[in-house]
Amino acid sequence: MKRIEYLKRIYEGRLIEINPKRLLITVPKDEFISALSTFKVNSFNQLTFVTAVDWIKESEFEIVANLYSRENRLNVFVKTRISRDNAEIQTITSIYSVAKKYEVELTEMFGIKVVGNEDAGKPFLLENWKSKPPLRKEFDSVAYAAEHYEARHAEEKND
Amino acid sequence: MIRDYTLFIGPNHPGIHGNFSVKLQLEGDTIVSAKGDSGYLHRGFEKLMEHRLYLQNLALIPRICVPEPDINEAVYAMAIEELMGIEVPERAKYIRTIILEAARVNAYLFSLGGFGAMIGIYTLMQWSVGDRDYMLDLFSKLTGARIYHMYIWPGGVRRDFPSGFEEELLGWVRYIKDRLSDYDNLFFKNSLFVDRTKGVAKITDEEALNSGVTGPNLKATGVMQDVRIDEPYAAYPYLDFKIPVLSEGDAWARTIQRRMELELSLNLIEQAVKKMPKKGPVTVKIPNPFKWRIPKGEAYAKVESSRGEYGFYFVSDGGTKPYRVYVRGVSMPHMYPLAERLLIEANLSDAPMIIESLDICPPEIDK
Repeated sequence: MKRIEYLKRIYEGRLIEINPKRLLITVPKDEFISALSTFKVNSFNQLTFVTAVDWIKESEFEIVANLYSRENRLNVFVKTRISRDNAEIQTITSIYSVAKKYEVELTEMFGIKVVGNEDAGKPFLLENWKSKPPLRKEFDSVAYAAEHYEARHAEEKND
Repeated sequence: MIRDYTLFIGPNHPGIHGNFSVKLQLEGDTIVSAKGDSGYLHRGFEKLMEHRLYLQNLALIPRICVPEPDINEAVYAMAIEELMGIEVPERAKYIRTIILEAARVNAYLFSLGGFGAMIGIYTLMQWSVGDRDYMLDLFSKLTGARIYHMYIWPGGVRRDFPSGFEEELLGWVRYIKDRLSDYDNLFFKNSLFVDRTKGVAKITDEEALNSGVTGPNLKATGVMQDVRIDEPYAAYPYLDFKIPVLSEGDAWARTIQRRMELELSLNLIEQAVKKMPKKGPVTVKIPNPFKWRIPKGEAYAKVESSRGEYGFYFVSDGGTKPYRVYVRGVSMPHMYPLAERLLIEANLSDAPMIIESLDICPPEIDK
């Protein structure tokens, strides 16, 4: 637990304990990469996932990286907020190489540009997708379905 | 003459579970590059969940992964319970453990069948899928459904065991235990399997940890990491068990690791049935499910699935529907980058073994 104490000391008050197994820290965008490096050298050397949450009312995306420490059996959420307009982050693949495909998902599903990841922007799950990134809150899946697919007339019965 | 060509494994291939494709670039029969092609099965679960009430989502989430749907219900319930501060009754904890372990045995049997089909032992496929079916009948008796049970829900489980269910369940466990020697003789000791997997697609523990690998694929490299031990949920804290690990890290070790964990799961079911309280509530009293409002906050609930760490990252804004759910599928790091890397320089005939030994479940990647 020494390393956790150390991390709590250097992030004085910002590293919050949600419960005994989960920690949370929110850092400014330009500190995101350095925070991840700090956590990595302090036993959080496994990346579980990276994703985003669209806080449309505040016009912000929240980037969430979930790290795991085998030594302390703890997960930490490292978060940062970025503006929804021209959303852009730096790649974290130099720290956690496994983040590559998660970043591809960020670009595809949220339209967040990832600088330094050559795969981000290439189609992954969605082929020939011309609409808005689907996990953005303003994307209306019902309207999209009505526009792109024929109605199924579920009420018609042939029995 | 050796020439370059491109070959697709999948999306319609007997050895690929679900719709998924790997595009191989070959020189003769040596693989030069491999690219996974996901998206055939993208159904947009994360988006769909944002538009449905908490109760409606219960019917949706088991469908994320067909071979082992119960883990979805468990992590969904655990995330909501964490945010609502609900403590599950003890009997429900044991029932959850039994269901999750039975689902794990089913998932192993299913993937074992896939492996058999991949190397031409179709008998194995018929046996294991048939043996899995006996448990599906029991699931049907318990929950009313064979595959998608919607049984584990926030606060406990939907209903108690019907009378005599424990005996039937233990009967199935004993039956599978007896069958294990048949499986050993047909497959695990068969040189068709051993000779073709020993030393194939070997990974080290360091490589596995850096690639985000979890579950049997990681334990086969000698690293003891398992959510059931590291962060015990359901009734695992009350059970006495030791998880076996191997150290070879090759396709053989990964498959044998599953074989050992299958046996462990059977023992765990027996132990849980023995130790569980014979009476008591199986769910706490919860408010009208159509009007559930989950307190604002976030939670990451995880379980050890048959493939590794499976979890939901759950964000609630205090409303009647989830604000955001991220599905942490196990197979994502197992396919990207691990399988893509392991396939390079492998022989074409080893490709099915490599993909199968990693037990990749494409629906988890697509979601």
